[in-house]
Amino acid sequence: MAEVFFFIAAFGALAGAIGVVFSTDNPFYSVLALVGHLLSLAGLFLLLRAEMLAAAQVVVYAGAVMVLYVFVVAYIGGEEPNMQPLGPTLRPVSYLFVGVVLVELFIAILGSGLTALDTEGAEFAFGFGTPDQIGELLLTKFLLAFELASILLLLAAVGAVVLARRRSGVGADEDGVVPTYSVIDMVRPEGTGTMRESATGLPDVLDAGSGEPLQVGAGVRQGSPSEDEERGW
Amino acid sequence: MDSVKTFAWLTLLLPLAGTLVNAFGFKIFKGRAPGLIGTLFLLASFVSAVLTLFALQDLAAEERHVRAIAWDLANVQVGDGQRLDAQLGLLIDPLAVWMMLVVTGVSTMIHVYATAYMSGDRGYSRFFAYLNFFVFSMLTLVMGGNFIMLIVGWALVGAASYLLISFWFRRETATRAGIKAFVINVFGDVGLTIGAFFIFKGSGSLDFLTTFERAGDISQGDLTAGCILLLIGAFAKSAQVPLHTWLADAMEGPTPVSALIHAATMVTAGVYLIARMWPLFEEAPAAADVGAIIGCATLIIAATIALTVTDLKRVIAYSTMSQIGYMIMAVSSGAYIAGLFHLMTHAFFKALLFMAAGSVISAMASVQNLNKMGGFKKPMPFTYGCMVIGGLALAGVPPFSGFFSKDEILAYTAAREDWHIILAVIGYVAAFLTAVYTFRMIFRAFWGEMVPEARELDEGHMHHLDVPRNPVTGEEEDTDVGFPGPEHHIAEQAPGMKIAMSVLALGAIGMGLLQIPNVTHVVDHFLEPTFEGSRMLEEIHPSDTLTYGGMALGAFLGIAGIFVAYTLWVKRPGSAARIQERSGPLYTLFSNKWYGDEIIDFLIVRPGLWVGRFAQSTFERFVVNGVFVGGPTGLVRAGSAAVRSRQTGFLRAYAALMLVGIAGALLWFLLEAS
Amino acid sequence: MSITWYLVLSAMLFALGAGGVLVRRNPLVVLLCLELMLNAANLALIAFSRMHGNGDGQIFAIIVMVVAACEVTVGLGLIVAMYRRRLPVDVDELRELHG
Repeated sequence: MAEVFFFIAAFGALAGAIGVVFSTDNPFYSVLALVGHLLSLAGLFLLLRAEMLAAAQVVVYAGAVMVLYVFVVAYIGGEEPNMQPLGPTLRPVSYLFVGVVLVELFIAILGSGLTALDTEGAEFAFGFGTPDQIGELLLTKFLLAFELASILLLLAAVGAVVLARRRSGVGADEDGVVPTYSVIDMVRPEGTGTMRESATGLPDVLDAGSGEPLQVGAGVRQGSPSEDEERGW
Repeated sequence: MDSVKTFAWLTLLLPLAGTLVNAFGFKIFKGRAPGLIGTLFLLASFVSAVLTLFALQDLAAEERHVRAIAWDLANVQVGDGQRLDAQLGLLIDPLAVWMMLVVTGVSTMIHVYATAYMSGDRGYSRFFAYLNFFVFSMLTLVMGGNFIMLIVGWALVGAASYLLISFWFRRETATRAGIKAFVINVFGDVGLTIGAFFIFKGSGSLDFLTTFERAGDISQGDLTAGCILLLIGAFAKSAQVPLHTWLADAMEGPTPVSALIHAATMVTAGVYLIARMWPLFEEAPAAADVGAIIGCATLIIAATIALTVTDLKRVIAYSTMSQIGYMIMAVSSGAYIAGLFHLMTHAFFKALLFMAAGSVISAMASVQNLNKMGGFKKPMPFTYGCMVIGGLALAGVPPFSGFFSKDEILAYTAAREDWHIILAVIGYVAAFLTAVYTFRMIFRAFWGEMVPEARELDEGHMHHLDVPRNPVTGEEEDTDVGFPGPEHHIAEQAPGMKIAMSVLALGAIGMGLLQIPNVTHVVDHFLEPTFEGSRMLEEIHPSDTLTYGGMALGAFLGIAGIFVAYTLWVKRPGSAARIQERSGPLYTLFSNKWYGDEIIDFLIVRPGLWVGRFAQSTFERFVVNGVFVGGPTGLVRAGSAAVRSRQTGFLRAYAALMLVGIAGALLWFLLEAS
Repeated sequence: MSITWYLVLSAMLFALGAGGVLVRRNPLVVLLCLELMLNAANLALIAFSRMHGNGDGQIFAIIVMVVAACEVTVGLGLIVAMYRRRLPVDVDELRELHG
């Protein structure tokens, strides 16, 4: 019975993976394929007696992360025609590398002398894979990892907000450059060639005569905040 | 003992103090004050030297070798039996005191002369600072008690000479002459230093007295090599053939410089060196013979050149070269005391000659060409008198001092009775030529028709050029810093010059009394303690016949020379020109200075330039820049270009590379595990 | 089922994910393929945890999930920022950071 479930789940996972990689029309299809893949994987976790993780997979991964993806895909919109996979230069090379990695992994798995791999697993105590055990482990043996993970989450949250915020507002110049100051700016001498100086220009005394800021690196700045305001959010 | 040391150190350090005072106070002292300060310090140094003499004479004769050590710089054992004992120390013995007295005494007189002569020059303070510095260096040289002090003094004297020759530094001829002198001197310095190394290797000590005690232990090869290298240093400093070409050009310096450095003191350093190193030279007769031969060659070559030169100061310069040749021949042949006596008398009359020449040149408004001079006897009687006194002493006419000293040299050389007799004969021939060229110079400049400058002077005012010019090239100059000042001083009008010249004239006349053969032995007795144990000193004694016969011959040749000069240049003017025509090639050889400059140019300067150019164009470009510099930078650049080409900005390429890395790591783990 | 099956499946999924990262041009899809790889690793971890019989592997898998969530957050923030600045949302077009 377990074998049947395994093969169904395995098939689902593979199908989802193939769908992610090879669907070219709309990224939405990729997202949906991944959702299916994740649910199949949750099933596989259950087969491996990791109940808590299966639940976490469904709730966190498929539930939250994928929803986030859906939001972004909705914001960004549909596919443009030139988003074909397999760009010309990398096609055979990437197949080759992937094949190499696959072969190596197979060799590692199948060719290893570990007899334990052929079993269904070791004897386990009652409560293996339950939230009890996970919680206990997290708070005792892996406390440091737990705390660090929470810090990581904080960083990610702050980072996401910083990345995606609108740049209009206090301190922006006409071409959207906000000079950010730090302590080192107070001690660094003028005209040392930092990126900030290249964007905002050297102070007048050091300029070679012209009063305009240098335009190095200003080519990346496409789009101005005023247009964003127009578009709205 | 202690008073000797005290006075010795005072003698050495007072000129240094004078230099520093003049150098740092150049803005404070105005007018002739720097000259007076320099002279005062030097006079104090001379007094101190006299006091050193008295203190030394108070000691018993065996004790008159006083080591005065101020500081031990190093004292390490460097090999078995070799101890590197570098000390800041002096050796005060009769020889050192003799040189000290000559140097400080003549220098004081020259300072007095220069106080008047150089006034009006914008570089007045600088001049006296340099002059005092020179005396300090020379004293270091002669008073030094070990090879280190000798070499340091030697080098400093070369530097001071350079500074003083190119004193009028905006004159291109002067700076070139200074460089020429310095380069040849450095060549000699190298010889001196390497020679000192050889001797140190053999004797195991840098200190003079210790080295001399062990002179017998040094291997013959080391000793001969060392002595010949020392001789190279002596020849460069004393302007002997073939390192003589700098002395004539050194006349670009002001006349007091020529008087001090190139007549009385610096060029005698070579003589001092050989005299000081007499224990080594007596053990290495080959080197001593080299010295004698070169000295003899120089004295005759220089005499022949002096016959033909037309620049007044250069005649005197070649005469110096010739007389130094006499001295070198003397000390190399073992006639130490004779050579040193001649050193002293020569200092007096040569300085006097230079001073008188300076006076004449001032009257001619810096023109030095003999052809343009004449008839200065009437307007400049004092100068004329001094010149004649100096000339008579130089020509070796009794009873002037030069007569006694030169004849003593020749008598001792002849007394050696081997091939040295040939050297003595050549010496007598050169004595005749000396008289001829000396009085050629005097008759040409002072007798005959009065030239316009002399006539102006006779009428009461000195000739002045409207535009100052370089006397050799005729280039226009100004009178600002780096060029001669606007004023010209002649002896008749400057009391300072008169005093100095008078003192020297008295010395030129009377110094001979110190060493009349078989009558007075002042110099002999004084210098004997230094040369104790010398084989030459004990064995060589000219017989009475030789002495008196030599004196008679010398006097005769001197007077004959004057007579010949009188005939050629006064009684029958134009006969000199006829002789010149008839002896064409010989005259060309002499007047081109025996092609000394050309030979050195061909043998040394051109190959040197070629090597330099080759190094710069080929070696520098291809090997250094191409291989040593270009190689590593090219490699680095290629490497970084290769790495840089991987940075395409292409995300997928980066991901692919990462995957390649992962695959590689996996592969490695697989291989490890199997 | 023996553990080997799960590991083989994990290897295949990982390879698929890697291939997807290399061949797709839409950064969103690239991130999705990245998720595939992470999940494949998770599967392997849980399989090994089952093999040993203790929960260490599962803890590791939870942390991996946390990391994946953070990375998705930041990555999507980047994509949104790209879109807002009117840059082409294509990994091949964005290659100014080159040497």
